[in-house]
Amino acid sequence: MEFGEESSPALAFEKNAFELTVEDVYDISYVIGRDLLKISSTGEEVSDLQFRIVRVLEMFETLVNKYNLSVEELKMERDNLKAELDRIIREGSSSSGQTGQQTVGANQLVVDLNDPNRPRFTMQELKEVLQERNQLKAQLMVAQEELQLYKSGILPQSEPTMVDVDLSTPPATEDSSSTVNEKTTIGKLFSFRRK
Amino acid sequence: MEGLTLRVEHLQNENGKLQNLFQEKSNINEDIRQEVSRLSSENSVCRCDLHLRVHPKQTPALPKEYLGMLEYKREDEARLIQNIITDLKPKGVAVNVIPTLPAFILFMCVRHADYLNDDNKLKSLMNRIIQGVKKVVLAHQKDVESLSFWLSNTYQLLNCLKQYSGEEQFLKQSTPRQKKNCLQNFDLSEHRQILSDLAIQIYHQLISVMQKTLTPAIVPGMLEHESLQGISSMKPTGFRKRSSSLYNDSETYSISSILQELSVFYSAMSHHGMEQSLTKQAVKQLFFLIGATTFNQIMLRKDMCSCRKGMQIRCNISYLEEWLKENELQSCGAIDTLRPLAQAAWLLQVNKSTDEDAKEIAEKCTELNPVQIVKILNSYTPIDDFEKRVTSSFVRQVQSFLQEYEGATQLMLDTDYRFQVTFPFYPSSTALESLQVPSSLNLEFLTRI
Repeated sequence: MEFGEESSPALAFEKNAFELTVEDVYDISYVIGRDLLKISSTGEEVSDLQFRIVRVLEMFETLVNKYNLSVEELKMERDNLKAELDRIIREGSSSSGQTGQQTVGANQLVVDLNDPNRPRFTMQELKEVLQERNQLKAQLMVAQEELQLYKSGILPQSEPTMVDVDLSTPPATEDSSSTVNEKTTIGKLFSFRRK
Repeated sequence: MEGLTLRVEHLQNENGKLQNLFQEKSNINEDIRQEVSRLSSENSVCRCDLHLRVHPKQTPALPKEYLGMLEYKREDEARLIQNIITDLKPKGVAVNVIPTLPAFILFMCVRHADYLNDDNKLKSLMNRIIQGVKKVVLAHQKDVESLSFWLSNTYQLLNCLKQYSGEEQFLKQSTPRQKKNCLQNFDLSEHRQILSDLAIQIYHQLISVMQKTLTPAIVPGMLEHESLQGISSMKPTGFRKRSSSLYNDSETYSISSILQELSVFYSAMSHHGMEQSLTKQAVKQLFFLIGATTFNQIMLRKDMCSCRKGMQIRCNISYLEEWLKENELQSCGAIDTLRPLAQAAWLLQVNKSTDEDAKEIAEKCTELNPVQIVKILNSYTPIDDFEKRVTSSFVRQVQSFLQEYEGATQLMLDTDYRFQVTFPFYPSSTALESLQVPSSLNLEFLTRI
């Protein structure tokens, strides 16, 4: 015991039930014990009462203990959940800070504008590009066939102008006038890209 | 946030439901336990009492008449010692209501072993008990609560062994039923002696711990702190004030601190059901320490030998006396241990000039030896210029009156001196048959016989 610590056991009787600690239960036990001693004379009659009281106080101790523990646990859980919620809110607000308030709803996508692999083209644009490619591919096949025929001497015509259409490299390398004048979707799209 | 509050509420509801379930379950457990003990006691009584065969179906509705013993299996002995001695906390529901219950429980186990006429079991139990108490006291050797608890219980066990020994001298206040409960087969007087020695050991350990706590407060509180401002004296700030600060104005110990600490010790001892005679001996020993320590300081320090200090000391002694009265400890002889100090204080205050004064001093200071008296007179420091020092002729005068003194001539008192502690026999009126074993002691393996 520390120097000068005092305890008035009877104080425990005046406390609010929900503020009781296990120590209070012990103090109560002590006071009741003393009171029982005062009324016991032969030691037999009071004994049953005495032990019943002990039993009740034991149950009381268990309940007070359990109650206090539960309160502590619930408080801790509440604090944890609170902290987590705060954290999430904080994170949410820091990442959406550049574009202002942005609540992401269902079926929505948040895109980082600095990502080189971000999606950029609409379905429509993609469709048109693919169609054009298919067209140009078909034309290429025809032109190549013609060339073969000319080479093998079947078709005795003057040499046609060579048209290099290389779809795999960007048209930035091409200096042929034919593509510059062609206002294809591809050209438009790719010209944006050069900027 | 609302979600959280709802969750918390929900959990609290669940908690309440669980508590109800738990309570129901422990009620059921208790009923089962009672049934078991009732049945096993029935069994053991059936074994002994052949007459019961006449009424085979009649199980009495009232509780069986118990014999006041507790049975345990030999292999549970270690567990018994563990739960009732080693792991037992001095603070708990059962021991707060009945502080000496462990002693009675142990004795009831001893009684049963004796009843069975089982020499080995009994010896083993007694030895285990003594070892167990020794160990637990060692483990808590600085804790006033544990020490008082075990001193109290050891003393009670000792008393039980005496009361139920069957010896004539201890039977005088026993009821007829108690006389019937005496040990039948074995004489445990040797074990009583060992137990008695153990009790003495615990007592001295307790005193040491209390003295160690008290000592720093003694000189500041009794001598240095000036609670008397001129003529008006301040009553110390009570003993059990809730908001009391240990330190008065200048963060030093005062007489209140000493009184407060004494109250703490006293309440610890009485909380654990310590027999009054033992408590009184402890208080007396503590008072002796206070007196001797303070006295020795006066011998050593000239600045403590003034009229004002004398008055202060006498004032503090009166507070100590009042404390004794408040706690009904007047008869413990504590105040007598303060007599040397009281007389020294008186000597500081009294006139020291005429021949009559010298004579009076020689007559009144019965507790002081000439060496001490002379020291005080020579060390006496006047508080102001009007007062004169004690003349050497006066001192010689006093010495002449003390020529026939034949006693010790030590200047200092021995603060380590311990009064011999005794454990007078105290029979208890407790009826062993009526004792039950509370479940919180975890002793379900004991069967009430």
